[in-house]
Order: sequence, then C-alpha cells, then structure tokens
Amino acid sequence: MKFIPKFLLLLAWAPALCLADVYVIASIRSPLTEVSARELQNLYMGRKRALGSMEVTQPVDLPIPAPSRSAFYKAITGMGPAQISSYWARLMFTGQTLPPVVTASEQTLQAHLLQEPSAIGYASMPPKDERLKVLAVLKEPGS
Amino acid sequence: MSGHLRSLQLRFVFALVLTASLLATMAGVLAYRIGFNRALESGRSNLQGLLLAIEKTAAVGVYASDSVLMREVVEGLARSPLAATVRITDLQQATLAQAIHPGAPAPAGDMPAMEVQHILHSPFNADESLGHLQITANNEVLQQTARAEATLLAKLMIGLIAVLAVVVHLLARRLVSQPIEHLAESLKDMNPGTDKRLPISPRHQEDEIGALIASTNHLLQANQLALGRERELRAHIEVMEAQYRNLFQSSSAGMFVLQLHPAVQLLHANPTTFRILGLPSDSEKAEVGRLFEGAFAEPSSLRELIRQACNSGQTASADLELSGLSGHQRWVHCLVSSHPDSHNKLEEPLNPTESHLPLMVEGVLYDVSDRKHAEGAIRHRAEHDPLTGLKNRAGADTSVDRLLAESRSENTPFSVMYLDLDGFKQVNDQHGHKAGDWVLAECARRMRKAIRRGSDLCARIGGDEFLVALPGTGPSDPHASEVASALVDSLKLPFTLDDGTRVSIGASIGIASYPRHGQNRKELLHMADLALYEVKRTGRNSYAMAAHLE
Repeated sequence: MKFIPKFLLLLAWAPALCLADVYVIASIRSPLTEVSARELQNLYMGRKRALGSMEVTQPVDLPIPAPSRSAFYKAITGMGPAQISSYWARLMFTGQTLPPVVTASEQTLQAHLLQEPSAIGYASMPPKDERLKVLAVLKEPGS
Repeated sequence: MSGHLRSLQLRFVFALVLTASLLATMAGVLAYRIGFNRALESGRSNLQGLLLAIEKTAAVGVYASDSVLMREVVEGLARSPLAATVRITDLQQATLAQAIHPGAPAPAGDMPAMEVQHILHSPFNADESLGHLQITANNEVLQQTARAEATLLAKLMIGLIAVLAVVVHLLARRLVSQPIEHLAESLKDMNPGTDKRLPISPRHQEDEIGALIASTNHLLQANQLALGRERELRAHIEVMEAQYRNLFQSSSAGMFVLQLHPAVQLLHANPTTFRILGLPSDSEKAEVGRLFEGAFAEPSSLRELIRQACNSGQTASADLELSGLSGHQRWVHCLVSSHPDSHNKLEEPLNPTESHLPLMVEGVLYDVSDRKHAEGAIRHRAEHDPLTGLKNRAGADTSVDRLLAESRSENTPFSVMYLDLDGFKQVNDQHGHKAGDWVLAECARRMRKAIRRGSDLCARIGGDEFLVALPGTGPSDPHASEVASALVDSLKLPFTLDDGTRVSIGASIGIASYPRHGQNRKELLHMADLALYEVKRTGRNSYAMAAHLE
C-alpha cells in the first residue's frame, strides 16, 4: 500500500497551504471524551479554568510560528495570531489572567500531555502514540 | 393711529423694531433650544466616543472576568469631567465594576441624568453578549456647557437681527424716507398753477423716487394748464354774465320765470317786470306770485295763455289787459313758453295738487298800452264820424253786416232805417257851415235819445243822411214805428243857434226788414232807400215801410 502514504502526504500538504484540520488531543487518562470549539475558546482565552467535570484543565499551546497554532485559534476564536497577542497583552497587563503554557513543539506538547492527564493540547496530525486520544477535529472554517 | 405714529418713517421704525424684536425673540429661543440640544447631543456623542474607545478592553475584561482590567476601564472613564458614574454590569445587571467621578454631584431629581450604555460582546463571538458598560453623565457639567453654548448662539442671532434691523432702518431712511420728505417739503412751497417744477437729482434719475417726482411734475404741468384755462374761462363767463345780467336788468321787456307748482311763485323777474306790473319790488316771493296774477285784469286769460303754452310746448302770446289801479287802461303783450324742465302737460294750470313736478314757465312782457291806445284811436277814427261821434259809413257797414249775421244765425228779424234830413241845406246855406255842423251834432244827440241804448245802432253815412239799425225788430214790431216816430218827432223840433236864431228842419225815414225785404245789406239798404224816396215824394216828416217783396 505505497499509494496511501503518498496520498496522505498530499493531504498533509494541502492544509499546510490552505490550513489543515487541527486535532485536539489529551491523554487517554483524561476524563474528557469530546470537547467543542466554544469550550476550547473559553479555556484557551482564560474565561474558564476547567472543562467538563474536571477541577482544573490545563491548556497547552504551541509557539507562535507553528502553523497549527494559527489554524487552532482561527478555528476557536476566528482571530489571527496578532489579534490573539493583542488580546493577551491587555490581560497580561493586569497579571490576573495568564495565557496557556507554551511548549516548544508538537512532540514536547504530546510528551507533556502523557505526563499530565488534566492537560489538553492540539496537533496538526492525529497522534501516533496510543496513549493519546483525539477529543475533537477542528475544521478550518472556510477551507 | 395716535399722533406720534403719523410719520411713515416712525411707523416703519416701529414696525421694524417690532418685527426685529419678535424675530430676535423667536430666533433667540429657537437658537437657545437648538444650541442646548446640540450641546447635549454633543455631550452624549462625546460619552459614546469614550465608550467606543474603551469598549473592546472592557469586553476583554468581562470575558476573562479580569476585575483589575474592568476597574482600570471604569476608573479611566470616570476621569472625564462629563462622566458622573461609570459601571460595568453583567447580563443580570449585577455590578462588576464601578467608578464615580471625584466631586460629582448626586443625581438631581429635576432632570433624569443622561445615561449612555453599550452592550459588551464577547471578543470572539459578536453575537454573544457579556454585559453592559454604562456612563451616567454629569448632568450639571453637561447642562452648564449646553446653557453656555445655547446662550452664545442665541446672543449671536439676536445681535445679527439687531444689526440687520439698524442697517435696514438706515437704508430705508436714506433711500426712501428722506427723498420723500424732501419731495413733500419742496411740494409744500408750490402754489396751484405754479410754473415751477421739482428737480430730479441724478441719484434718483432711474428709480421710483425719480418716477414719483416726474409724475408730480407732470401733475404740476397739467394743473398749471388747467388752472390757466379755468381762469380764462371764468373771466370769459364773468364778462358774459355781466352782459346778460345787464341785459336782463335793463331790458325794456319784462322777463320772468313763474313756478306753477306747488304754489304760484315768481322765481325770477327783472325790475322791468315789477315796473310794468306795478308790483312792490320788496315783496315776498309767494306774495309776489299772488300779486303777479292779481296784476292782470283777467287772471283767467293769463292762465289760458299758460295752458296753451304748456300744452303746445310752444310759445303762446296774447295782449292782456292789466288791472289798472290808476284808472286808465294799460295793456301788456305777453309771451309765455313752458320751461324746458316742465315736461308733462298742464291739464289744470295753477292747480298744484294735480301736478307733481314743479312746472315752470318763462315769459316776456312788453308794455303795449301806448300801441293799444293808438290802435283804438285809429280804429275809432276809421269807423266814426268825428263831428257827431256816430259811426261813419264804413263803421255802419261793418256793424250792419255783423248784426245781420247774428240775426241770420239766431233766426231773428232785423230792421234798418234810412234817415234823410229835410231842409238842412237851407240852414247850412243861410247860417254857415258852423251852424250846420252844430245842427248835425244836435241831431245826433236827439237820435241817440230816440233809439234804444245799447243794442240799437245809429250812424251818419252822408252829409245829412243817417242810418239806424234795430236788431231783433221786425216790420210789424211796434218798436220800429215807435223809434221812427220818435226820430221824426224829435228832429222836427226847432234848433236854437248860438246867436239865438231858431231854425227848423225835418226828417224822412225809409224802413226795410230782414228777412222780409232783403237777405243782405245791399238789398235791405236798397229797399229802405226806395221807401225813403217814397216818403220824400209823398210829403216829408214821416216814415214808411218798404213795400213787400213779391
């Protein structure tokens, strides 16, 4: 089946050009089974501190250059990276609300998720590690 | 209009001030209201602007429940002097953050404080409302500002109108009032019919004032011409009037205008009328009317004359006798014509009750007494014998014809006598013509006594021939023989001349009667002559009836 990986590769390339789907992931130990874009928005933009029945849910972010980060925020807030930065600038000015923790790459993010079941993150591809589960697939609006 | 507003200028100023005041008041009030509202609106939009500027941040604060950020926002807004209270509430109206402007007064009860509020939306979902950001305005500051702005605007408007009114007043005074005053002043010095004209200054050459002056000059010109003509005409009329009056006053004819209705009144009469009629010149009009009629011997003939004139519409004339007070007869020739004003016919003249229009007649009187007298004298001379005073042959012919015509129409008899004196020639020859004339005159006197006075006629138709006419007397009437024998008897008596001489003559008479002896004068006289001849032939001093005609 040589054909399929090539096809998938093509598929993987296409989102890179016109933003691909984003996979919201967490540890299989996490109590969450699925999550909506609105819930993700509340969590990642600092409105809520937890999802579902959890006491605290830790959102984990990717660095600004990551294409999946732009796609993720576009999907949950409809805003671009600059607008998101502006948003956080206002909140960080008071020191009351802090933005999500940023990991260096998708690998470190997934490693962090494996260690921390209350954490939640996202990836540009479905995780290969079986200890991780996909909670939602965010379609890029308009793609 | 009271005295102090008679002047056009003052009235204009009064109207201008009134209008301007009214306008200024209205404009002031309007400007104040508009200014006030605009200032309030401006305050509101300022507050809106503030809200818009900070809305996003506030929304982020509410979204993230960041109380510090929300407090920063409300405190920042509260620093504006326009704001009194700034609040952020959630959807349940619970206050999330609030700030009060330092020194802001508590909201007063008289006017509800202006409130501006915005709904805060989620930064990420425009359709998700999070709460409200509201600013309550500082009413005192807002109104103070609004009042100041409105007052300024109103003052500007009033000032503008006042300046405009002054300018209009000055312009009207300079362009209209003063030229008109000047024109009136110049016109006041003009006399009617003057040859002066008003000058038109170059400034008004083309405008309405110029047109007014030109028209005035035109009027002055026309006035001068008309007045000149009037003067000429008046002078002419005065001359004519004097002439006519002179004519009227000094005319030898009496002229008068008589009013017949409602009472007979002498409306106009010249002095000659009064003189001719012998009326007192100072009598009352109504009195004169009565006297006027009374001046005529037969007022009825005057009325008849007036009736003729009125009915025919032409001039009627007649000789009328006056009731002579002095004893001798006076006559006037009177011409009467109905006055042109009297249209209706005069049915019953001088009867005021039947006529409704004032009827007038005009008349002219000439004193014709002298002519009348002369005429009478001539007629008398022509028909009478100067010696005896009896009618002469011509008069006798006329009278006999007249009496014969009467008898014919009345079917009565009529007798004539031819009388011839016997022996008169001898008297004339022996005693002279003078004695003869005296005898003739005496004969006439005796004959007059013998005939019936009045109706009977006696005439001398020749030297010693006489004619007697007896109207109403037939051949068998005793009166005929009575008269005949009386004549014969009286003429038989001797005559005593101036020198005492007594002379005697006699008379022979021939009688003829109508219709028995003839149908006309000639036949009758011929028959009478035949009878006389018969008397002369058979013996004198007797009379005879003409033979019966077969």
